[in-house]
Amino acid sequence: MPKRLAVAVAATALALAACGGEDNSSTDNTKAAQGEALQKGVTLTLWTMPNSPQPKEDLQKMVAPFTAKTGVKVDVQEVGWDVQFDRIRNAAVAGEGPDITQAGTTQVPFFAALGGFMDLSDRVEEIGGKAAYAEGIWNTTQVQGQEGTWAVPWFTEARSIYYRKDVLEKAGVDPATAFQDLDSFKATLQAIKDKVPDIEPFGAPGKKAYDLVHQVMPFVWDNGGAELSADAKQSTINSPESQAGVEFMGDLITSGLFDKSQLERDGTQVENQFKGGRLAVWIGGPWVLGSIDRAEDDTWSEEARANVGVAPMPTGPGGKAYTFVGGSDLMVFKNTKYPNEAWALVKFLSSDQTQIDYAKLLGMFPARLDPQQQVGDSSENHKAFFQAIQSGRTYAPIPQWGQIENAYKTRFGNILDSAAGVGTDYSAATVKSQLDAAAKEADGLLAQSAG
Amino acid sequence: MSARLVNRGLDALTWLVLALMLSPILWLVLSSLQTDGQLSRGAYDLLSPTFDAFTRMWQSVDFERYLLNSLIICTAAALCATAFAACAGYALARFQFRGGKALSLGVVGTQLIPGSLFLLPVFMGFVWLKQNTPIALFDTHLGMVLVYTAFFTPVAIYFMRYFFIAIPRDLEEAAMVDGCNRFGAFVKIVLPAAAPGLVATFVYAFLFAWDELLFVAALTQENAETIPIGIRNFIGNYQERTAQLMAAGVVSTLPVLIAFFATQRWLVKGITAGAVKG
Repeated sequence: MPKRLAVAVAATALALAACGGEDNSSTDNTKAAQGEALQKGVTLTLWTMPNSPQPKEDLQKMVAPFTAKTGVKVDVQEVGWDVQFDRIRNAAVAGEGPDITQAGTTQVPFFAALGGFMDLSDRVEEIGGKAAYAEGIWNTTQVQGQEGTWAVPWFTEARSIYYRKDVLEKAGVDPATAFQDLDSFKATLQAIKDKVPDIEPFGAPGKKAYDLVHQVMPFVWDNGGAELSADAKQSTINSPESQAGVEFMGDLITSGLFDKSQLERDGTQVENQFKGGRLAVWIGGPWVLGSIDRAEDDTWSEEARANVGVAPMPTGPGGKAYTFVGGSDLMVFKNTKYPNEAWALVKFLSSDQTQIDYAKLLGMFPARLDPQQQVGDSSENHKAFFQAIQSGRTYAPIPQWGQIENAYKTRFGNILDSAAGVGTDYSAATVKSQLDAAAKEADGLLAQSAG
Repeated sequence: MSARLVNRGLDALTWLVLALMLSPILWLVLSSLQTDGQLSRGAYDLLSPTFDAFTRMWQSVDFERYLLNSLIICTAAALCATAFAACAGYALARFQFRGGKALSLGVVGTQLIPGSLFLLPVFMGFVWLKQNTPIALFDTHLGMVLVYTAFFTPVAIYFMRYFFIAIPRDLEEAAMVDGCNRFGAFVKIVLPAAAPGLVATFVYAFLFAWDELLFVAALTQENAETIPIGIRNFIGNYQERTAQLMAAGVVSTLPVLIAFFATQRWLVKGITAGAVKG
């Protein structure tokens, strides 16, 4: 069913994109926003995804001060992650949708290329522009090779290493150096395996996880590999460096340091395994940190809850530690009847205090540097995430990325499966052939749009 | 002796198949009575169930709205489809008219086209109507009722036609001799006799609309979203409320179960009647 849905809606999008060109002249966003009074009593519609425990109410509360101050009402509508991609695309091509939407950082270039969104270049200076954001995060608002700023970063996540302090102690490993580089990372897992037999050293999700590529790419980057060439014209996922990165993960499985059963789970399910005390080390985002103090979160076992430590990602042979940085941006629809009011809301959501409050509610990080720093200073564990964000990396901002990521995801999944003994025998040749196939698919996708 | 043994064996097999078919539902109900923590660790505690998920599911997702939308849209669509099909099916069963055969074939023919092909034209049509006329079909109950009615009516006509053929003409003719006109005979004599067929048609249409996702995902945005859309909101990027998802599964299965058991008597008759004639 989902496949049929995807095919049908892809057809919808293509057809509409083909015929939607002419009548998009309606809203002219170059109008200077400054000084124009906002219309009181109008209602803006804001699409949001299930981010926090009570997504709709939480955000509705968050924007209440905005309504009180400006008289502009906000109707928050919740769109599930399963349907958000199709909904936003349909809204963009059909011109029938909300005023503002949340969008995943890696989706922004695709949506922007549809042409249904406002170029915010003239306005972003009002909130500090590029300088107010970490570089990796600002990049998510751009489309490579194209002028324009299509989104404003809203909240941010980066991945770091979570570990169990008590387990490390039992294994006799010093947390300060345990995850310094890829070698010590592996040695730490080995020590846990040898000395603490009642817990699995490490685990990560397999092909069911939406974020499998985010899990693997840091190791590829560490080894000097990349997902695409610098000009984003060609896939480099089958380069020797990239292969070394993918093999690092495969080798963890074959050497018994990686709990194979986790490959059957998705990201949140593996997270719950760590929280439930079944995994000693796990790579995850900041939202887990926020849930430690929440007593009603019963996925935590008492032992795990009391012993969480966070370390930055290990450095690779190149001497740099990479991590994936993501999160969500806000995009304003071109067809909005109230561009100034919509921008005012984006501005409000970008103010320091709102950024901190909302990020805290989500267990995420604010998108802007200043509030980010404040949250980073709040504890030792938060600091690790703050550092991760500053050196965080994301993918090339090109419209085809989503499809390319899917192609990579399937191949990475196959490789990890084969390392776990499912399907083809695991060997360097297997990895190479899977990565070659991934690169071929990616090149095909890149060529399509060029032609 | 051996015949008895075979019978016993078949009985056992029946129970086994039944148990297999019911086990996912049992699992759904049991999981809905656990906490997320127990679910994620696989440490089910069947002796101390909690109804926590059933109370919390209404707060974390606006499930009431989805449930209400589903009930309104599915009931209205099933009613319309059944009513139209009863009239059309009767006409096709009783009257010879020019184009009758072609109409019959055409109705069946619509079923040969994959439903998803209609998505694009319907979507574009709805959006165009919304932007250029006061006719509100995009993201409204009316729009979804129209779509589901249109989808199920052809099958329903086919169903109903066979039911009417099975009813002896003598019954209506007797009524018409006694002073009823054709329509009176249809309403007073034929429809009651075809009640099992009407109920079966209604329930099938209702169930079809209850589960439908493809169209409702594309044709609604907020006002007319049904359960298949809403139930996905329990799964976020950063958290999965599995117990609540299971609870929502139980809650959305209940109306269907009730509808099924309440009409079971007619439903079985309807299926067997259709089977013999078809």
